[in-house]
Amino acid sequence: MNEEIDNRLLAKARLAFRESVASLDIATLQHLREARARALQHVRTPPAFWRRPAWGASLSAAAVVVAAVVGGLVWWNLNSQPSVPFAANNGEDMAIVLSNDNLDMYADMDFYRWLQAQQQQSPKTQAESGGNNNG
Amino acid sequence: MITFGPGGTPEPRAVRGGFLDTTASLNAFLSGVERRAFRIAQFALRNPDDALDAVQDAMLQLAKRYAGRPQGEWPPLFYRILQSRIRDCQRRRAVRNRFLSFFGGQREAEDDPPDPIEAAADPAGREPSEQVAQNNAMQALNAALHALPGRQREAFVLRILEGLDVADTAKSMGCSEGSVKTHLSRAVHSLRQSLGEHWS
Repeated sequence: MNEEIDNRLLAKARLAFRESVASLDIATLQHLREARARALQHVRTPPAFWRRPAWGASLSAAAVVVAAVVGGLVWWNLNSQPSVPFAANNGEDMAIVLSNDNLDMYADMDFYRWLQAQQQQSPKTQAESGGNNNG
Repeated sequence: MITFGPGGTPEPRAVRGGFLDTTASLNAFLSGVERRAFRIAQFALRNPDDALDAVQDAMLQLAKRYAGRPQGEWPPLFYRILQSRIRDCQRRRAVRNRFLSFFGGQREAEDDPPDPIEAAADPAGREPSEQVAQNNAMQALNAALHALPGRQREAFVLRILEGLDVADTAKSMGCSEGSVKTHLSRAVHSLRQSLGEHWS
């Protein structure tokens, strides 16, 4: 029963409201039109495509990826240097420096290395070398 | 599909899926709601000038701040701004009345003089008897709505008269959907009591 009364009440309220909206006078309608026109002048144009949030997010993500790739390549390049010969040579050189030997010897390292290489040559080569020297 | 309201203006739902640019879409939306919004503001403020100011402010804020939002969000946003402006106006009016009564001046009338809009000739060209009956119905509704607590009136006009769904009404009022149902139920109960004798 109440539901029926409510439905009738609501229908009448809607009808009265619609009628009152339809019967607005010309002056009020004109004021509303002017107010709308003024409001529409303040609509902001959408930002340029690169300033839109979607583009900004994409560009940020791309920058992070590029930075990560560049950083990875640099790290890989540094770690892939032939480190063993360098370490060996470097250790040998450092041993000479730390042993307080004459630094002139260090300056002539290339000569001593050549000499060592000569001594380690095959016996045949040494013999020939010795024979030539004796002769 | 575009549907048209009683005044020949597009209904809010009609412009939601539109492909027009923002300004044209907003224009269509505002032209569809402006008359109803004016009447809704008038229910609460009972003063056509204040109602016009509130609607104008709501339009301006929507255009300035929320034009870029999806069109489906415009109705609750617009009515939320409008309700906020209505409450601001009511607060200002209350402060002014307190100030005037403190200095012994005359309080600003809560109920304004008879609305000249109601007294004007009917632009729809209806029979005088029909017009009188309609005016009486509107005046009874106006008085009954004005007697309701603010939140109940908001729930009733947004949900029943404007036709927003419960979710959009809740967004417009800034409360939960449960609160909307409670306010609406109480409003309908009160209106049944006050309008029953006129309308049943």
